[in-house]
Amino acid sequence: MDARVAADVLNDLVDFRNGSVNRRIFWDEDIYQLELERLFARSWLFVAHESQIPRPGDFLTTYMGQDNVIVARHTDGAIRVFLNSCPHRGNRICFADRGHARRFTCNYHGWSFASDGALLGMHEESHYEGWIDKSEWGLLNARVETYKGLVFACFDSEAPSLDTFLGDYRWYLDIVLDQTDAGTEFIGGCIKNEFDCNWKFGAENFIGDSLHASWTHDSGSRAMTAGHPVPDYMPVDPLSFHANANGHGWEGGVDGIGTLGLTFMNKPHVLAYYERKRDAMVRRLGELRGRRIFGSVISATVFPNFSFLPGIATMRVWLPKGPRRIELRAWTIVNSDMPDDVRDAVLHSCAQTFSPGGVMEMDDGENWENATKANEGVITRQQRLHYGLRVGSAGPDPDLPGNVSRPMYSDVNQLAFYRRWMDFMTADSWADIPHRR
Amino acid sequence: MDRTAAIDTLLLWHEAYGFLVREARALDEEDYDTWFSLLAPDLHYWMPARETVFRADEAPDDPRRMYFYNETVDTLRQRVARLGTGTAWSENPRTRYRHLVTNVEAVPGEAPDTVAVRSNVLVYRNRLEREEYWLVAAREDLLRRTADGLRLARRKITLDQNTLLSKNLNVYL
Repeated sequence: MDARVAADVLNDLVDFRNGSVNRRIFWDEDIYQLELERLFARSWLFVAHESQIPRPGDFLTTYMGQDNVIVARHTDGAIRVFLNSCPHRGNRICFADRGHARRFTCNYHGWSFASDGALLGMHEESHYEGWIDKSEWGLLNARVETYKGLVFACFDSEAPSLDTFLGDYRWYLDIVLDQTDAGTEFIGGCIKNEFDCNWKFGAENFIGDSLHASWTHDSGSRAMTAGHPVPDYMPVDPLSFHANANGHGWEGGVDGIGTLGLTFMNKPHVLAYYERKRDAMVRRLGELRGRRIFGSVISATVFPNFSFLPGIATMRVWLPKGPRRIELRAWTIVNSDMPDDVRDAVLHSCAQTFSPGGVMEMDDGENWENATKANEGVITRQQRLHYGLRVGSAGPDPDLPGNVSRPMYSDVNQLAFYRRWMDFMTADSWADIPHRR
Repeated sequence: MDRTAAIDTLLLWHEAYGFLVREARALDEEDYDTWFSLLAPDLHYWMPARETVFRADEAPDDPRRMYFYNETVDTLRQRVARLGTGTAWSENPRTRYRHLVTNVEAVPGEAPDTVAVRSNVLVYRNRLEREEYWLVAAREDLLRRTADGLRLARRKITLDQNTLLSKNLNVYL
């Protein structure tokens, strides 16, 4: 056990039986450092969509925890992920968000690396004759695996495969990733913004916080729909559900229309596109996923920090920048065979709702910043936070994989997220991290 | 340049600058009725997302890539309607906005009755106890002359931040 946070302190941070959380997890520097070491350095992490780097030599840069990495399509067509720091003096090597390059060369001493991270050579290389084995001084590679277009990487050699890590949650991911033979792609570019909140607020909000939707986003819903509040699209439905598998979570309805109706009220050609698609989606995904789940108000998080909204089409990652700061990177995902006008409309609605200037997202950052800050107070921190709504109500379901609780107004997925978080935080190695169906 | 041409240039600049300042005050005061009255019905209002790329990978901005805004008057009205709902919690208390408009250049546009205007803006936002956000951007506008005065028909906003350094973009530039 890392001495930074004593075991008894760690175990007290979340009360899974009664449903409460110690506010310390949102601001404590020691807990944050432990998260970087025990969670982000061990977990599979989303790094890219394959469509962002289609050709050999294409690359982008992103973060795994706070480690900057290059995600590159190597000459053999495989995607490689490696540290963006020169093993000579540690300087950052690549300063572009994305691009195309045959090699990555450090500005400091001209050490040069291939698109798989291998050290190719350096400035005035003859001086190094006999002093370096270049094969040993490449850029440290992460493991890379993909799931239907999404690229994940992991720095822990003991971690199970990505398929095992995602487990039963793949059934839910397919609702977004497997609507057509053509697959999906990200629209080019990325919206990035930084603000002062703990990374877990974004992750836990998207994994299960349906109760904030109709309150926080009342103004956004009314703006988008000429006056309709959220419940017009997200009625209190006893069949709506929280589902979680291995710490990943999905919450949503089964009416098949809530999100599409709210988001595309003024874009009937998008609604028509999905209507045309429905039968094919049902053939691929079955009646429940293809017609009843997709299209409902849904939000979801892949543990630990990758979230998405099916229908609204935002996918985003909450990159930690310290206990009190995150960088949010967001993309719009579309089916690769979407007609141009539908694709443009999906992008527009995504920007209009879930983007820093969007009428929905506008209110989220405000809440998470102020929750992060207020939780620090010396007296304030002595009172735990209530996560007790329908605690302990999840169980197996005949229709839905994972642990399921109905309706979707609960803290069930949030507690499953923190259960997984605690699994990582208290484990000495992957051998101690259980598989949670 | 002879004196008459110089005066014409100056008058055009003065007219354009007056328009931009009036628009800025409307935005600072959340006076969106006035703001919309200054917009042409066919407005295209575009603010692309920024990216840091190597010089070799630089390319013109593409409206089909990610953006903060890519709006018409109708979709701007939808966005602004949020403030009128009474439940835009994060706008109560209100944000203090200040648009500083500078480096204005105005030349006759290609189409008749238009003015091509470039300007820089520095937008200061201050919220609650001590939140401060600074945005600096270049703007390329097309203004159209109508019987009622100039109207904004096209605007491209180029923000000088790669990563937006704030929780939201609750402002028009």
